[in-house]
Amino acid sequence: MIGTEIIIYLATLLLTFTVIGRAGEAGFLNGAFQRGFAGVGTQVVSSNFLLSYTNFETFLRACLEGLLGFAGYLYLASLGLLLIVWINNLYEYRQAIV
Amino acid sequence: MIIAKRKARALNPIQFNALAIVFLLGLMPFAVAIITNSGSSSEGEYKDSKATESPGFFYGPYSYWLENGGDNYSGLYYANDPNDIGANRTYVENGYCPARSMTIYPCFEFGGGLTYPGEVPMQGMTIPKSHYYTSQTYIGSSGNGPFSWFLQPRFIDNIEEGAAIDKFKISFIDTNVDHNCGSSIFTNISFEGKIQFLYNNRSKIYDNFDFQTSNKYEYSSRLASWTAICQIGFETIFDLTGFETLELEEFVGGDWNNVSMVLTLDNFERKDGQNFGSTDLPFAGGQEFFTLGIEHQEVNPVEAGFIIKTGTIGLAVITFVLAIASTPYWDPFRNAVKGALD
Repeated sequence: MIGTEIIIYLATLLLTFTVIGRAGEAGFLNGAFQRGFAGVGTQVVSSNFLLSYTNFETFLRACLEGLLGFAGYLYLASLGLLLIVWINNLYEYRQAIV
Repeated sequence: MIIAKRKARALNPIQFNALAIVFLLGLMPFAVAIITNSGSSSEGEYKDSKATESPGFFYGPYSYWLENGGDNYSGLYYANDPNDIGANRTYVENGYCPARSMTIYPCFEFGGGLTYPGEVPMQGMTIPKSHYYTSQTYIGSSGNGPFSWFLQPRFIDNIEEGAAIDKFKISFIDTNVDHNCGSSIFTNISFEGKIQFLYNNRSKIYDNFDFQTSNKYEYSSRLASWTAICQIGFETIFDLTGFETLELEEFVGGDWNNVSMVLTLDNFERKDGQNFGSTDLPFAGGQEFFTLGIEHQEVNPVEAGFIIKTGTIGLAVITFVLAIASTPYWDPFRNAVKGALD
């Protein structure tokens, strides 16, 4: 299901921004190429991990399809809130997780 | 004596980042794995889904072949037998036999048969093969799918009313011929599976099951004085997640005696990279029948439901707290919670 994959790609993208940002602050990954390479690598590995090696997508799909009832929708709302907060942080502080 | 208590320091940004990453990539998938597999037991015993009856054939209501491996067969079989005889040697697509002159649906029906006790490790049911060529040798080759069967409720009439099924173990065995266990006829294969349940004109599909196995089925049979024999075959385990189990239980309303199934196996490949064409499959070609064994494993729906619902709510609360902790409202929120608890 595309919706679940979008959620996973978005979450891992925000994580990637944080990892690369923190690494830059610590004096690593100073070149644009290094940052780009590390960013793409982190994004691919983390999203691939969640999609291929865990049940996370199945769980999200079950929540979206209502198989978990109120609990599933509550979880989706919390996860949505978390992603909105991280996107807002990225806009406000140039860092997803502050 | 006064003991000075050091004031706890809040997490610095890097620590908090690390915590968030560990949560998202570590704890959350782990918690989700526990929730999705709740109630499932790897040590649970399988039960025969088919009731034990006297060996022999049973008849209607008829089950039928829906697909038999791909259209690569049509030309070969039709060229060898242009007369409109025997659906078992033609190409079946969506239950129809396009190469036959008459449009009949379903064109390849079967009742079924029961194996003798101890003949196979479970209560086996015999089903006619497709591409069985009467009085001639097997021609053509195994298509790489799809292979699909519609099975009447009679094939799973031993599932108790109200049961919540965690797994189905479905075995396909060509019991007609024994092979040397080291024979080169056996090879590692992979394929995909889909299982569909039909009840009261509604259907529920569970798909994307990937199987990595061999076409060697080794077991001890009473017919071989309990010695190990090797035949063409494999077993497939359709392992449902906890919430799929509950969904299916609700879907059939516990009335398993009136549930039909459609089994589909597709996209067969050899792991050695060779063309799949001549690979032996238990249900294609050769002798007249193959053996199908359906077993199931149950879970306690109340226990599974409790773990799933409470686990999901717990995960939602933790995610919510992480969201708040990612904002400047964290300290007031923490103080409010602490104040409420004090």
